[in-house]
Amino acid sequence: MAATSPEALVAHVLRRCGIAPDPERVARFARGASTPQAAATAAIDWALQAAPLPISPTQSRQDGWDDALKGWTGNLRSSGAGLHERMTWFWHNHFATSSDKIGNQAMLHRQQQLLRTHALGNFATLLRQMALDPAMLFYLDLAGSSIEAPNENFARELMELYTIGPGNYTEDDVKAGALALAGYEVDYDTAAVTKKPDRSLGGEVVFLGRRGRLGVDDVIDVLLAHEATGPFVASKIYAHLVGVRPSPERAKQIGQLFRGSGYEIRPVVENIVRGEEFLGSRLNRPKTAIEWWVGAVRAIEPFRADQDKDVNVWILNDLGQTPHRPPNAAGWPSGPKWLSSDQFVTRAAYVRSISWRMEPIKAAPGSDLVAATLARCSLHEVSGRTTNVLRDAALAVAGNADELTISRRLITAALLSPEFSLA
Amino acid sequence: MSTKPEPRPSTVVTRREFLALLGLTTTVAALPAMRGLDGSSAEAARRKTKAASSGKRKVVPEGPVVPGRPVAGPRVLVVIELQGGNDGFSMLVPSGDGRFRQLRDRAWLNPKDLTRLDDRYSIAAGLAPLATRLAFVEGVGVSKPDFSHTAMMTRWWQGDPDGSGTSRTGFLGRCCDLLDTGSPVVGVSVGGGATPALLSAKAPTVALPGLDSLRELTNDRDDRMRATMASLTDGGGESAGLESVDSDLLARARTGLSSGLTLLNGLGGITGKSAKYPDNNRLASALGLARELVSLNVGVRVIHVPWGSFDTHTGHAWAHPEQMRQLGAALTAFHNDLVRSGLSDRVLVATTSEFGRRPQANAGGTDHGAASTALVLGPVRAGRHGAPVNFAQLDQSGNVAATVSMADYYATLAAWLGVPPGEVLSSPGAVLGSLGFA
Repeated sequence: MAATSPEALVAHVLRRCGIAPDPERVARFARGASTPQAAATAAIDWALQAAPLPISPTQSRQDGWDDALKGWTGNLRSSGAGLHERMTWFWHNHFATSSDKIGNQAMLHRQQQLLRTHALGNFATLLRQMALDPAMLFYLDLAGSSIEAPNENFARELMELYTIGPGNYTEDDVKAGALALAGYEVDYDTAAVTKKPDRSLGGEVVFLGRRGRLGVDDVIDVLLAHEATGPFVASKIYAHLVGVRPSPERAKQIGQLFRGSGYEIRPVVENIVRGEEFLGSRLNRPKTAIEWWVGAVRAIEPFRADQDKDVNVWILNDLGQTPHRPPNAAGWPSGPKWLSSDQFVTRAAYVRSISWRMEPIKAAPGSDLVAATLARCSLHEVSGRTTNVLRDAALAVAGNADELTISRRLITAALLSPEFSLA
Repeated sequence: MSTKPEPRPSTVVTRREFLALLGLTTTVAALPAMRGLDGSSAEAARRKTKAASSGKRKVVPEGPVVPGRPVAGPRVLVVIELQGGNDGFSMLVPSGDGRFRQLRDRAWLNPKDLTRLDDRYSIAAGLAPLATRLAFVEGVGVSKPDFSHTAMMTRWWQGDPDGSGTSRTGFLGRCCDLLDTGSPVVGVSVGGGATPALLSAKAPTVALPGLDSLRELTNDRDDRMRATMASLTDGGGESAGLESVDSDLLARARTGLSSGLTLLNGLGGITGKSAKYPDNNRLASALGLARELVSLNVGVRVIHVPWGSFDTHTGHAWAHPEQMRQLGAALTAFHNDLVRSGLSDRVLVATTSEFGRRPQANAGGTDHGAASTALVLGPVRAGRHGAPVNFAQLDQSGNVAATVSMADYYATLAAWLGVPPGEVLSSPGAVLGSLGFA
């Protein structure tokens, strides 16, 4: 790591602690510190303190998807997106719900607000509010579930995905949880949540060893007290930020920190990004589609003054990662899926389809087009192969191609390079 | 792609020229002719009936699948993964089973959504157009079920009935490995991006991207672009500056781009418009593409189509029949297209789903279950296969026991492809001979 440039470390920090680095911010942190390590620390300090980004005012149910999607992706694309935005995205993936099933813009907006309010706050509070969040109640069918015939969908995912993880509960716990959680109804127009006593649990159940006439608060108390919840959730945060699962010792450590603090999110996030394994974990996982897209748009922009500024957010549908459209309750998968052939074809087509509007790449004095392209993409660790390809693209037929054609070749090659495909 | 920047030149190289460039047009193996089913000749009399009710022309199955007709080309398997856990009991409905009716009372299907077969069974009305062609395999499942979507999807993707977690490839991917004779693409997933089901050790398996994207690149005017992209994929040991980066991941990314370019060369010409399929039916669109993929003759043997939202915890009695209508319309159009294209003897459609639904309904829906009914369409004997489940004997979780194991079902699909089941399953089951393909 001795030879790693400050730019490389800062770009890594901003990829993981934001969504995609702003090249100017990379340059600023890199220039302003005496050592690469100090530059990275300054970037981490910034990301931890970056102000939460606001979302547009409450939208009505009738309002279009277009605005909602542009609102959220606008935040993801913001240069000011730090750990608050990153963790908002993480919690959306943790408590994944889909507009395809909910179909109510006001409820989805309200849920996004909930995620933003608690993104770096308290997990216990977030979990309690999420359990009775109208969009969640609809998505996992707790709305309308009755003691007569309880719906198990939410009770199962509450344990499997949100708290203790698979292997720590039995089917009897699922059934008992479903009984304890039955009785809620949601008004689809006002999003008002009510509990119907006649549809709620009257007798006792045994849920994960606790017997009683349990309700939603009791169920969540039991889960928060469970020894698996701290390590399970903290490890998921760790894997998201570091790119690999924590070692068993590290999982235990951050699990204890998480639970010991009463499930405060910020301390565990800070511990992870300041941990000694963080800075060395560069380019060790694929970028997901939205990370790639935000980075690509940032590299292609600005568009020429006379050109359409629309970046076509709907490409996210083709790339398979539109906010509020996860494939299922488990959220988007991580891993090699994002390096598959269809991703590359769709990404290439996207770059080609909007890059003709870009402002051509200009080399700064003393720099060259290849270096300027790489900086625009915040690519500061690049193989000899990729550099050579860019060099060829810039030089080989420069005489026959105009400035824009060459810029488009350079940006296409850079954004499809193996390096840019990794986070 | 929402914007089309420039007028496209008309001198784009056609798919056929591309294939010729790649030498692909010569790779289509002339395989021995395969025989259709004797039973299918009975269908000959029923060919091409047109239902003209309410002024709309309904799509009805065409026929016949002619026995003994020479077939040019290898067999293809199309697996439709019914996502969310399909209730097979609402597909082939044991409507004459009093015990089942009682359990399902709260989510019982509307009479108009059922088509009666006999005293014991009905089928979903949406499937009625194909009633004489569909094969239903009853009781498909695993011996020790799990009720997590993720856990059971993984078992089905990997062909790992017990969830041992030892497999690093998908069942369909392993089939592709054994079918790989060097063609550019062996397995394709249509409509859902990359799938673990098609993870292979060596065979090229890809997910088909959106047609707009294919078109964007096929029409790209910068003729150097593809060569530039291709040169990114040469690893060549030139990793200077990346010593600390996981070389496996870099290699994977290079492979992804490389197979994307292969895909573009081999499949870039598909149109999505080659035949009439129902509108507003994503499965139908995907199957239309599947038919084109087979017709391209670039070596595609396995097609995976994830589709549907079958997790009917609520609203089961309206949601499931709606899915069945879409399924029936899509399969009917696909079947007709195959017949017209002379491919119906070569293509087998089979469904999978992570699990079925529990017989006992909740308030208006159904929770995660275990064994379920699968559906098969192609040159097979129509009707019921496997063995009926026993609703009088529910296990601790309230579910029926499987009568056909995942291993049996998958062995059958492997056998269709000519793949020895023992090569792709750790403990292969028995091929369902009753389906009648040799």
